[in-house]
Amino acid sequence: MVVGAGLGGLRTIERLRADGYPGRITLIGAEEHEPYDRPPLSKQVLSGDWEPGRAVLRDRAGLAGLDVTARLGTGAVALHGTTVELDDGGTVAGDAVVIATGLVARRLPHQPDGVAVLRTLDDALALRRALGTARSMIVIGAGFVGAEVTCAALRRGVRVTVLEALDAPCQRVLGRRVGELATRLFTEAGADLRCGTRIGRLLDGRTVELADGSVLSADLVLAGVGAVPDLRWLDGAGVRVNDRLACNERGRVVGMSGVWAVGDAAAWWNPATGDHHGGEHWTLTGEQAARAACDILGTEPPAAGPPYVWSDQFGLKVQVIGRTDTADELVQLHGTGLDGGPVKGTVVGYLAGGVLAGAVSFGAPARFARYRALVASGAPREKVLATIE
Amino acid sequence: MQVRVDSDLCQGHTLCAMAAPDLFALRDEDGHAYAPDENVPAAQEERAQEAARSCPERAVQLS
Repeated sequence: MVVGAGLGGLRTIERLRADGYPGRITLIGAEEHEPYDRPPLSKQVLSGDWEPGRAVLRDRAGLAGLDVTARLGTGAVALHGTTVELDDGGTVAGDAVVIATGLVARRLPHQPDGVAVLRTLDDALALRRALGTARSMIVIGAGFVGAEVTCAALRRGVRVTVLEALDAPCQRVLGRRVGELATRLFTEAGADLRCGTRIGRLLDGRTVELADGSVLSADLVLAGVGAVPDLRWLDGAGVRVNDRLACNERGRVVGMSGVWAVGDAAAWWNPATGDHHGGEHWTLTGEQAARAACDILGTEPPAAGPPYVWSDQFGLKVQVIGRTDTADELVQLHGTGLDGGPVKGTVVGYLAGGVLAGAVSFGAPARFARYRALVASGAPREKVLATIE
Repeated sequence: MQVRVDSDLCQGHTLCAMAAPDLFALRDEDGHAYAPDENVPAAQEERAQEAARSCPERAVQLS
């Protein structure tokens, strides 16, 4: 039984069937929609380049082809052992449960309903409609979603004010210094980016009061302040939920039997770094799904590559490979963005203990490609620098 | 099995080349992938499927 009909849940099922799992599979999905992919929501779907159907990963016929009983529009409300209780009053029991419920948009305290968020397909379509008539917009949070929404709004001629609590956009992913490059992307595109701005409270769907008491208003307000797992339905299931579900390195939920978790709701044990790490990486979700499926089947799991995430913003692709949060040293591998040169074409390496742990590229995909293998192998500084020449 | 990369869909994530380095090459200018030889050797079929699954744009097409 798979709870959660997004990328992680679907990939788990695909792997189970590809490797010959003969048993019954039930897919529980809280949304009515067929399983869809999230990255396009803030990109091609929001911009209008894609109709929403193109984001669907597998339609009902495709699910039937996998011999899956799909219960879409049905949420899980409790877990007892390996029996899931549903919000329609029914229960589904299985030998194995895979939790792939992902994240929900984080809301600000007392957030009015009129404030937009972007996490689901319905959110994206509502925002797309709203952008069609808005002339001004306030984006709260300059992360990847905030950046992509800002771009879509600017392209439609909407004036955009971006309020960011930290000193630079995407600071948690990029760090302070590389975050400056993201700052320039916002400002050079014409957005009014205000970093270090604390929100006091949201007065209504169009009005924001800042911590200093000043008030801003616009036709549209988006809260792009990240996403969190909603695991309240596991209260009482005997598992300790510390933000995300702690799992071992094969996806088994710590403290439970017959239960696995994959994707953004899970934090798998990482033997290399010695911590439980939850990534919000598209590739990591797919890999975890494959590994969990193999663990359920008792087969050999595929080799894992370094996690990868990307964002299309301000006319270029920002690509992040590996881990940037463990770095103690930065190296500008290509371009001159960190020295005040163009942002586009800049590639930065993140070293931890003299070893390449991650890398970030601003609009330089071809140059960036080579660093994937170097991150995967944990290449030392000298080897990384030798690659540049 | 045959493999090709839809150049209109490819965005240069380069994940296919990571999954199946023997099947894909990358263009220097934008990281876009192509299959130098569209015929997939039998021993590489699983890697080709992995590459198709790994593509966020679903640009890797098998037939």
